[in-house]
Order: sequence, then C-alpha cells, then structure tokens
Amino acid sequence: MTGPSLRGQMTRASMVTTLLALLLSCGALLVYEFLSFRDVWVADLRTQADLIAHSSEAAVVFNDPKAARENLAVLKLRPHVRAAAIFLADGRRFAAFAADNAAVVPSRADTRLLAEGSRFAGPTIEISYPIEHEGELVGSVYMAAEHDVWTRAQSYATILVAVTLASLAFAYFVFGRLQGAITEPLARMTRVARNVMERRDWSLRAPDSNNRDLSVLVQSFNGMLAEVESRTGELEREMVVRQQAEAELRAVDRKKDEFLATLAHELRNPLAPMTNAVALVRRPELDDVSREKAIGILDRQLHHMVRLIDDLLDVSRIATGKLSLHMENVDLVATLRAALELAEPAARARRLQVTSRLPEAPCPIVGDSARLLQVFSNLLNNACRYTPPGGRVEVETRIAEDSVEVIVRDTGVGVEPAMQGRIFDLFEQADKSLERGNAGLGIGLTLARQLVQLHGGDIGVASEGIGRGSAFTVRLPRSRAAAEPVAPSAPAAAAGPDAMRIVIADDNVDFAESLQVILGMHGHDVTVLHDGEAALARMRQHPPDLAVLDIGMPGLNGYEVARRLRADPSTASLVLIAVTGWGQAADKQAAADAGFDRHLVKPLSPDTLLEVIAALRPGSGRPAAAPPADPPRQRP
Amino acid sequence: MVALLVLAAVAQRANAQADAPTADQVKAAYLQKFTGYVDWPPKAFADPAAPLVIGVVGADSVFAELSRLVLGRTAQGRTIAVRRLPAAAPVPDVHVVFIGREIGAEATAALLAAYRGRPVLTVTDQPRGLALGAMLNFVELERRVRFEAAPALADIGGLRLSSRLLAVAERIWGGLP
Repeated sequence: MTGPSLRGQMTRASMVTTLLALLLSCGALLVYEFLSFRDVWVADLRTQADLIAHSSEAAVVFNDPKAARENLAVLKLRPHVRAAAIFLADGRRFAAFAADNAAVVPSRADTRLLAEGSRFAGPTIEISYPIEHEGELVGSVYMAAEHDVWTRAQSYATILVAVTLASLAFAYFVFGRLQGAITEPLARMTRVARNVMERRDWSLRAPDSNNRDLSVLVQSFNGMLAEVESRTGELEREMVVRQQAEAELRAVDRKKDEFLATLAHELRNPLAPMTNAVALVRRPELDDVSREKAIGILDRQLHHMVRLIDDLLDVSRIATGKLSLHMENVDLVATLRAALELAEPAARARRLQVTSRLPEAPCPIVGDSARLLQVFSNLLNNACRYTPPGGRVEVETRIAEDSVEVIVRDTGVGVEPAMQGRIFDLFEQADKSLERGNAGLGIGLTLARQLVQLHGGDIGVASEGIGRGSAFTVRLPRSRAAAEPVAPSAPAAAAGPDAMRIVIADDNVDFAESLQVILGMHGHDVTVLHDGEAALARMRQHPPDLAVLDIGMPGLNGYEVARRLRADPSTASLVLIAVTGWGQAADKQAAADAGFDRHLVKPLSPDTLLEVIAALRPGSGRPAAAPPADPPRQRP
Repeated sequence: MVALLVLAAVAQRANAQADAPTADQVKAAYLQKFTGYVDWPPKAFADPAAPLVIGVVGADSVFAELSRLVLGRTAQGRTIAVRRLPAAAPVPDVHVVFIGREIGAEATAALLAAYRGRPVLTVTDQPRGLALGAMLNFVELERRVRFEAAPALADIGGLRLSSRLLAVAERIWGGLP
C-alpha cells in the first residue's frame, strides 16, 4: 500500500491550518498597525500644523513673513519634518522652512493636498492645514515629513514571522502529542488488521482506546473478528464432522455392497444341492437310501436358509427398534444345555470334541430364553464352523455375585487382534477367503451382541491370533429378584406323540400339506381343508381334538371360524391354534378375542407346532382364562 | 464643494491682488482685522446683538475702503458698522476709533485724551502716534504697512490685545500691562 499515512496527513492538515490562521492574523495585525501608525503620524503632524497655523494666523493676516518664518523655525526641533511652508490663500508662498539643503519646498500651494488633508508618497507624508481668520481662509500650512511607517512595518513583519515560526513549532509539538491519542489506537488497529490478514489468525484483538468514537470502532472491529473466528471455527468443525460422516457413509455403503453380494451368494448356495435333491427324489427308480440322503440334503439346506432369513429379519428388527424381549425368569444352565444339544449335529459332522463345564444347580437370570438360546447356539455354531475337524469346543460358566459369564472357547481359526474390535460390527467378516469356504453372512455375531446388549450385558472376544483359537465371553447381569424357582425352560425334545385328531385349514396348499405330512409322521390323524366354510362344516360333523387355522382364508376367515366353533357346544372345547403372517400385538389380541388358544406367527417350524400341540393336549391342564404367552421360539 | 469655494475665494483674492493694494486699502483691511485680536469688556456693548462700531475721523479713502470691506463680515460674532466721527469731541457707543493723519498731532492727542479710559481701541496714523496716547499706530517700513502697539494703554481702557497681534507688531511701546 502506498500513499501518505493517516498520521502524516493529519499533521500536514493541522500545520497548514495553523499556518493559514497565523498568516491571516499576522496580516491583519500588520495592516492594522500600518494604518493606525499612519493615522498617528498624520494626527501628530496635524497637531503641529494646527499650532503653526494658529500662531501664524496673525502673521498672515498682517502680512508679516518674518514672524511666520520664526513660527516655522521651531520645526527644526522635529527631525522628521523635512520641509514646511505657509501659503497665502491665493497660493503664493508666504514663508518656508527646510531641514537641510536637500529638502525641497514647493513654491505654490497644492490645492488638492489642501482638500485631502494628507498624502503619503513613498517614505514621505505631506499634510496641508488651513489657516483661518474669523471663519475666513487666509492661508495654509504645508509640512513634509519622512515617516518610518515602512521601517516599522518591516520590524513588525520580522517579529511576526519569528512569532509564526515559533507558533508553528509549538503547534507541531502540541499536535504531535494530541494526535497520538487519536492516531495511535488507529495505528494499533491497522497493525492488528494486517497481522490478521497475513497470518489468518482470527484470535488477535485490537487494544481498546480511551476515545469514545474510537472505542466504538475498536469494539466493532473486535466483535467482527470474534464473529469471523467463531464462524470459521464452526465451519472447520462442521467440515471435520461432515468428512467423518461421509467416510462412515462410504464405509457403510461399501459394507452393504459386500453384504448384498454375500447375501446373494449365501441365498443361492443352498439352491444347487436342493435342486439336485428334488431331481433325485423325483426319480422313481431311486432306492430308499439315496432318497433318504436327498431328503436329508433338502432338510439341511432348508434349515440353513431359514436361519439366514431369520437372522436377517432379527437384525432388521433390532435396527428399526421393533424387537422386544419377553423378560422372564430363565435358567441359564438349561438354556446352555439346549444350545449344546442344538449344536451337537454340526459338531458331530465335523468330528469336534464338545465339552461343557456347567454347574449342577440352576442359574436363574432374567431374560428372554429364546433369544439367549439364539445367542449361545450362534456362538456354538460359529465355534463348530470355524474349527477344523478334530478340534475342541468348550463351554464354561463363571458365576459371580451380580453377573454371570459364559465362555465359548474353540481351537479354530482364531481372530487376528486388529479384527477383534470390529468382529461384532454388522457385515464384518474376519476373512473373506476363509468365509467363502464356510456358510454365514457375518451377521450372527452382530445379532448376538445386540441381543446381549438388550439384556443389559456385553460380549467380547479373545484370541491369540490366526490359528490359535478364540474365546467368546458373554457377560449377563444377575438380579436378586431372579433368584426364585424358574419355570422349566422349553426342552428341545417334544413329548412323545399321542394320536390326536387334527384339522388344518389354510388356503396355502403347500404349507397345509407339508404340515399334514409332518404331523402324520408323529402319529396324528390329520385332515386338511383349504377354506373356512369347509373347515367349519367338517369340524361340526366330526369334531377333532385340535384345529390349526389360518386367519386369512377365502369364505370364512379364521376369526369367524373360531368364534362359531366356540359358539357350538359340540366344538366349544376344541383346542384352537391360529397360524398367520400377522404378528402384531393387536393381531394376537384379536386372535385371543376370537377364542384361539394360541397365536403362532409364520414362518412356523414343525417342531414349534409339535411342541405347542404337545403342551395344549386336551387334558394336560390347558389354561382357559387369559391367553398364554407365546412359547419360546425354538431355533433349528 | 469646499474645494470649489476655496478655489473661488483664492481666485477672487488673486484678482484683488492683481493691481497692488494701496496703503489706505491695507490700512482699512488692518482696521477690520484688528477687531479679531482685541477683547472688549462686555460693558462696551449695549446688548449682545449690538454691532461692533468702527469710527473713522478724517481719512476719507480709508473710510470708503472700510465701508466696502466690512460688508457681510463679522467680528467676534457681531456685525461691523463703520461711522464717520467728528474730530472735536468723543462719541459714545463706538469700539474702534481711527484718526487720520490729516487731523494733526495736537488735535489727535486731545481726542485720544478724551477717549482715554473708555473701552475704545484707538488707532492713529502719526509718526509718534503711541506717544500721543494711541493704542495702535500704523507705520510704513520698506513700503509695507506695519503697526506698533501700546498694550499698556489698551489695558487702561479695559481692552486686551491678543498676544498673536502683539507678535506681529513692529514695536511694543510702554511695556506689557
């Protein structure tokens, strides 16, 4: 930046102003002095002339030039008077006086001078003064003097110049001190502004000023700086947060892509063996052993798919907050035994040695037994799946005062330390290449952790590295209120089949007929119908022991069928089970209102249905009043 | 305007001087001008508006000139009147008396004696006028009309001669009062 500084400009402006004021006042003083000094001179000479005129009047009147000359001669005492004369009224010179030979005395009166009274001509002042007698002009006195007005004016000018210079110097000094109070805060603010712009340091502040206006300026400036500082900080923070969010979104997006690829792969995987098995079963020449093998393949792959889809649904329910736990008193030991039992086929298939060190006494906790079973069977399934054939899987409990730990340990592939923190994250898989060789979506551990956290506990993993095995620890809280006798947990094994007459009404023909086969295999006498009217008519003619009814059916819906059955004395005591895709609390209530004993939600596993049928067997003490709670969902 | 008036006056005088004034003209002018340098006692005038009277004994040309000269002029705020006076005896109510040369020394001395003690300015035109008892007396020196004064005599008459008049007098006779 070029150009004069504020300080310089203010100094220059004040100096120019001061100089002009001084020159003006000096000039006025000089003119005034000049004029007044001249007037004094004129007045002085006129006084002298008056005296001479008065004393010379008689000399003029009585024509006595000698007396007039004598009167003029007194002027020799006035060194400034160079020449003097007395003129008669007709202009003739009557008497003359000259200070020295150089002096010139006019020989005739100057009438114009007489009219003007006085006249300045260079260094000379001339005056003419009338001589009167009895009101009559009889002559005039003329005087010429050398005045020193100019000399005096020069002296004055010299003094004034000196005074002006001294005043200017003084003004400069005083103004320098005064303007410091104004320009210094401005200069400080300017420095701060420059530093702010150079360093981009918004935290700098200009020091305050005593001057009120400047103080407002400084405070506004600082306020703006503060505003810029806070906004810049906010922007930076926001940027960091957004970048983080963006990175997270990208990561999640990538994981979702991978997950979808995995999901498609996993869902497709079982289809090939199932297709093969179906093709095999269709062949009439197939022997029984091969048929059994094909059906076994179908069964396993189906179970696998069901589990996949169930896990997916559960994760989705937890993610959307729709999963709720049925908290009750649960025996943790019994739940663990059930889980071990469920894992046994897998363990056996891989020739794993499964050992458990469980306490003899029940270990009561508050929880959802079905969900806990899901957690532990998940961990055991993982252990079996990731442990090479011939390995070992151990289950152990550690019971403390207010919590209980369940440790599932294996000698499998292990988890590398870097992955141990992330292994529970959704869609995270320890090793994609290894995973490809095994079944699984990578959501089992996520689901397990979420379920444990819903129980108020937590889950962790410890592993010494790849190939060194791993140990998963589930810690669940124990509450004192739970230390009371526990309702027996639902056992995996169903009671032995006692033949019952069962009616199944469902417009889904495949579902109804597959159920008919399964229930028939358990010795039950099963009749299948595909609409409500037919079912009602059939049951009125031949009342069964138990009916499994779909809700959404052509003709009569399930609720209506149930109500009519309850209304007919011959069928009022039937055991009624609703099987439907609608699982909301309102649906359950509607089922109970219609007279159903149970409300089961599709997809429905045959084992669950068998269990419920066993529990509701007529004469086994079926609860009549309030609709009983759902039984724990058995995981395959 | 003033300048014009002054110019006119100067021009008039210049014309008057063109032909050099005679001695009688000068004497007449002096007589008129003397009135401006003399203080009369108040009792010399009958009333404030009374004119100042100049009496002339003999000296016809001076009388004629004076009569012409006083027209429109004043002395000490009073109009000026000029009268012829007899040489035989003094007259009252006159303030200046000029006795011409042709009156003669004895008659002049007698007349002066008659006016002595009165507030009358006596002016003579005799070689020894002051000795005869006049207050002022014309003399001619180097062809110029001058005058001499006897302020002591004027004092006896109750008059006072101005010092400025005395300053231009040719001779002061009898000392100052």
